[in-house]
Amino acid sequence: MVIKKEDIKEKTKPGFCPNCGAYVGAFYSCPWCRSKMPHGTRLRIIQYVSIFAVIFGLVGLGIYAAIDPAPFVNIGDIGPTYSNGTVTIKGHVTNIDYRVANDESWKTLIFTVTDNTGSIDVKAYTETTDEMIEDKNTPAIGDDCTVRGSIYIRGDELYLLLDSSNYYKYQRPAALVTNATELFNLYNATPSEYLGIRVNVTGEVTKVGSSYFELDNVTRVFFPEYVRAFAPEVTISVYEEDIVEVIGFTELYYDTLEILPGSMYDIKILIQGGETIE
Amino acid sequence: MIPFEIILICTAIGILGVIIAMVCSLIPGLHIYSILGFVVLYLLNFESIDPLVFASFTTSMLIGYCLGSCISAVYFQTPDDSSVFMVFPSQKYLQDGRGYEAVFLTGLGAVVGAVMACLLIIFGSEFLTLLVDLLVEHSLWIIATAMAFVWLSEWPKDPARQKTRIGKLAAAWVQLLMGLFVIIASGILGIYLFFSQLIPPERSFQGLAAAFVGLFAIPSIIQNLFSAKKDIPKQYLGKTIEGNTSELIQGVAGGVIGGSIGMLIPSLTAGVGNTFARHAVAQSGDRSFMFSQGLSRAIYYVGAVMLLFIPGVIIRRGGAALFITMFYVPNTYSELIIIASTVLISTAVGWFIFTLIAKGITKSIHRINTRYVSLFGLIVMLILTYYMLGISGIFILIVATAIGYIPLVFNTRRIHCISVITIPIMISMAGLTLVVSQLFGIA
Repeated sequence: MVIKKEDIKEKTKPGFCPNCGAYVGAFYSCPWCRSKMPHGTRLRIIQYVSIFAVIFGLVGLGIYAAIDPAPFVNIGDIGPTYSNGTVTIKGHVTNIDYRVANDESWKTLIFTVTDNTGSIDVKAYTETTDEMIEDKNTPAIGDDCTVRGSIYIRGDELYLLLDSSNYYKYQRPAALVTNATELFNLYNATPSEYLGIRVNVTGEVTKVGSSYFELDNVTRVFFPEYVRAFAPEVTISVYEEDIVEVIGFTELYYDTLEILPGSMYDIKILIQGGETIE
Repeated sequence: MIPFEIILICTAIGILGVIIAMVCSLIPGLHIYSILGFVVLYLLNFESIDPLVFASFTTSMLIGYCLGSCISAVYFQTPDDSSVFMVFPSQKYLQDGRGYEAVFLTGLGAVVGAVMACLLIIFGSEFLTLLVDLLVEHSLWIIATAMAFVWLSEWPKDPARQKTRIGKLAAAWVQLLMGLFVIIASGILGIYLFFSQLIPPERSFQGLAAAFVGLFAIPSIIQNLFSAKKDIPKQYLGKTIEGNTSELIQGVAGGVIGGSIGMLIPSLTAGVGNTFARHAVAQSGDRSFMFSQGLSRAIYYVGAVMLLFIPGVIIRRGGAALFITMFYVPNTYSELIIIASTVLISTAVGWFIFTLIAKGITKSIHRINTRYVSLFGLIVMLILTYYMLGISGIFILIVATAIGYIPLVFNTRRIHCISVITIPIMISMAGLTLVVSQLFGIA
């Protein structure tokens, strides 16, 4: 049974069956007497308009989002109200910390990025850290980098969470090629110019420790846990009198000039036991 | 040792918070997180404010919202994500002149919920900590199952007395497929919101506000504005409420289960939790349903923020906890006790004010043109969204409103809109953020 619109207005309120008077709500037909409800064209039009509005709205939103999905911000500007924001920062790596569980069930890489306005810690959890190591896309102190991530705030702790290796991009400054003794002399002449730069140094190993060795008795090469972790397939055994080449970042360990490589890939043994290593 | 003055200030600010929140909650569509966003913006200028005072204010505002929004949800039909289910039975009550009963039952549930949330957190903190640890690892499949259940458990509502079999099948599936359409559309909106920066970065802490208002509140307001003039019948102000023991037990059980799901599992709100809970306790009848809705919302909102106060662990659930952690992370048992006492005092004061407001509105609702109330709510929401998030916020609001309108015109479940958070969180948990971002051109 189809009811005419003009009959309905006179007899029933909207939502009630015009034939039997039962409450039907938004249904198309009365469950009691099977009469078609007079939703008519207007509801149909609203339905179509809603669908098109959703589709075009999402397409528009997608285009808008793709223009600048993670805007650049100055590190110093980042505050509590940035919580959960997706942003991109530019700066250079000034510190690296690597934490791993005894059973290696989890690991966290934390590196500090500094720009002219401030510093922020960037955190990468297990999956991302593994991905970075696999991609050989790990940070090294002194790197100029661009990082995209989400801002997380917990009380005084504010950090950028790195979700993927792809969101960390770096440029390593060109290294000054020299030898250990010469670097030491240059540093002694003008200390400020030779601290915090990247160098490519060759020298003879004169002392070996558990996580360091010395070159030419004047320069120390330090390889902490993360340097080893960033190159898991590289095993280097350095002995006294070996000739090695190290690329790294210069810093000061107490009064000793120290070179900090980015990973074990940056340490190369040239001569070991009198034999040249290919 | 927390100074006694701070404890007194917390109590006083708690009472103030519950009053402010209750009044604000009467504005149709206004979510408490929108108000808290402005409070945060304002308070960030004052470094000397004790964070515990802010935490007390936040928590008591949640209680005020749980109570006040019962009134607006029933009388002005503007639910949020956790009360969408409540609107439908309460509308039936409203039409029968029993709106006060619906408001009272839901409000009573909220009071019981707030008290239970305190008891749960104080006496069950060790168990809850273990449970959260256990659930974290399983969150992905739990959320996925919940969403699948919400969609699969929807039964075609339209009898669709079509003439042909194909016609009947098509009519039934249109509703179900539109539910799926809403899930997908909300999910896409969530992907853009979570994995790209649509709003100004300095307002990221309110990143979901526009979407939630658009998905849940504005469609109802529009519906109220453009549907035929509502003739709300004169409401009966009863002195007693009908109910029996089994309804009470079902209501409490359903509310605790539903609220706890929302409280403990990331991205699942009380609305989704209640879908499970109703089945779990074989809930039947409108009274136990409305009571449990109020109860579960209180556990979801108040319990979630109180999880943050469990000493020794950081469990951050819900938007209010996010706001508090912008200031500090609580870590002592005394802070938990102060917050719990603030909750209880605010609830008592809130209930008193709630009954006064509910009675006042019940007496006058048949004389109020709810269209004007809805229009006021719409204007307030647009102004707040523009002020907080700029023109991009308005754009998000429009798209979200279009998505949120689909369930109304296709008669499907509105809770599908919660995919705006569940889908991106599942993607993130599955480690697919980059892949999905590349797929959507926002990598």
